[in-house]
Amino acid sequence: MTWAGFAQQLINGISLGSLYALVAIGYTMVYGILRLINFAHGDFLMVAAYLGIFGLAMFSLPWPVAFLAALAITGLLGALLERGAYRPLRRAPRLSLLISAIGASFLLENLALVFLGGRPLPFPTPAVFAGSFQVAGLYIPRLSLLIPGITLILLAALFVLVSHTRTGMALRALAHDWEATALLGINVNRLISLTFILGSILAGVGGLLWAMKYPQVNPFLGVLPGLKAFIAAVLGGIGNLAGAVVGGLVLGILEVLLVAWFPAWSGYRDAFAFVLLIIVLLASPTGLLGESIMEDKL
Amino acid sequence: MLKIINLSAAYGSIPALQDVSLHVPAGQIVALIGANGAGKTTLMRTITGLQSPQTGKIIFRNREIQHLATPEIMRRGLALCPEGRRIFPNLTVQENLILGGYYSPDRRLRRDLAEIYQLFPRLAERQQQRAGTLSGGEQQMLALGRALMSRPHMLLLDEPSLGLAPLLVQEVFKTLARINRRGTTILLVEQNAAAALKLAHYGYVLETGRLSFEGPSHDLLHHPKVRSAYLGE
Repeated sequence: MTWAGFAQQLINGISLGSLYALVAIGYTMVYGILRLINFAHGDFLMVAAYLGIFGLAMFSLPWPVAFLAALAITGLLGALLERGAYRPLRRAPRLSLLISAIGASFLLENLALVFLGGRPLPFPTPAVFAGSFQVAGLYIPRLSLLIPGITLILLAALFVLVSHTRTGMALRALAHDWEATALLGINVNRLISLTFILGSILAGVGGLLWAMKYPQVNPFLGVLPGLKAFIAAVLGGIGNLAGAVVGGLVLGILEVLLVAWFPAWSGYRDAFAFVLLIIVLLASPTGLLGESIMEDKL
Repeated sequence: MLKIINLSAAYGSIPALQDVSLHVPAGQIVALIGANGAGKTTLMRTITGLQSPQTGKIIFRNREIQHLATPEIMRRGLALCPEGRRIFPNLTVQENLILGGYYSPDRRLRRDLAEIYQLFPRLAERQQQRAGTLSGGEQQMLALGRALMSRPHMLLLDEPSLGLAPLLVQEVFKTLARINRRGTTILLVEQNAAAALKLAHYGYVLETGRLSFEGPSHDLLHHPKVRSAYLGE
């Protein structure tokens, strides 16, 4: 492969990896606080993508309004999911929560299937996000720069929130010791809702960007990116915010390079991610950066 | 301040508290002494809403609280310095304290922090250190400071002397007396009966889930049965 070709693939990989990272953060935050793998998380990509279509195509809103509205509703639905599917099971065995998460995922997918149909809808990508340019012989879609850029800004904001605000302190405390946090009079339920809102909004951003990158939206859009992001979170060390970002990038880049180097294997790109998951779980179950449960400042 | 009426609670299926009634008047220090497994910690957990009682009432500042959730109970002016301290080891000393005053406006928070640092100069020296790196005594100070940050009407202490050297125990108890003189009501749960009764105004003895004796702490200190069972004489 030429250097230009490699650079090209690297850009693609970083762009894909950033999307995984955005979604992986939600898995890792919820795991840090509830010790739950929120399997419905990936479906919020799909939710946000459909909401984006409604805003843009049905209501003809300007894209910033449509996107913000889609994200706000996605965040709200995230909090509702916790209220309906997880909070009632707060004192139940962890396995019940997991089953509830899988159920919630099926529910979301099938609600979309019933009400929106199985036929993929085209995503009307706003002009700002479309197009591409050429630099030094490289063909770079505008999105390939926007995706990592947006991801970087959002993650920086999240890290500031977690490590420098009172709310962030409380989140870290909650991840370490639920009872001790409640004993300080801190409204634990509100923090949990906030965790779901933040995670869902990040997944929503991921969903909108995903829908512009691959502009076909169907009810199962979130399944595979969701699973890959989960793998990314495990790869980086679940519960570890920085780990989710590293895991996402590593997975995205490896996946793209694998396909580029071995075009004949491109059909196995998804299988590759799962093989990687199995290897990580066998070799180093706490992932690359270790399972730090959001306690560390970074 | 705090009134407990005919409280019963179980730990799993094992009864841990049976028909416990006690009263902590405003401004006083009340000691609850008892051996390991007598139900002291269960009582603390029940008062703070971490565990539901089977029967009975808990009245704090003229309101029944036994059905409220933990954060609501604590926000009514209660603070617990829990057994084993339960500080947040990966947060700094300062962050631990700030969480104690989570809902305080910034100005009040700064003032309260300064006050706690004055009360515990050792914590001031270690503000930016992770709490997990503190010694046992310092961690106890931190747990106490964190509990005080909410300016509670009443402070519950679960075994504050546990694991501390005798000299440090003295220091902690002196601090408690000082906190009480400033107007904070205290319910102190202790295995270290001698130290607790010397500090307290009134005492209760808990034995396998039931209260067996009560009285002014001076009387308890001289009660022959208490002396033989808890003061090692």
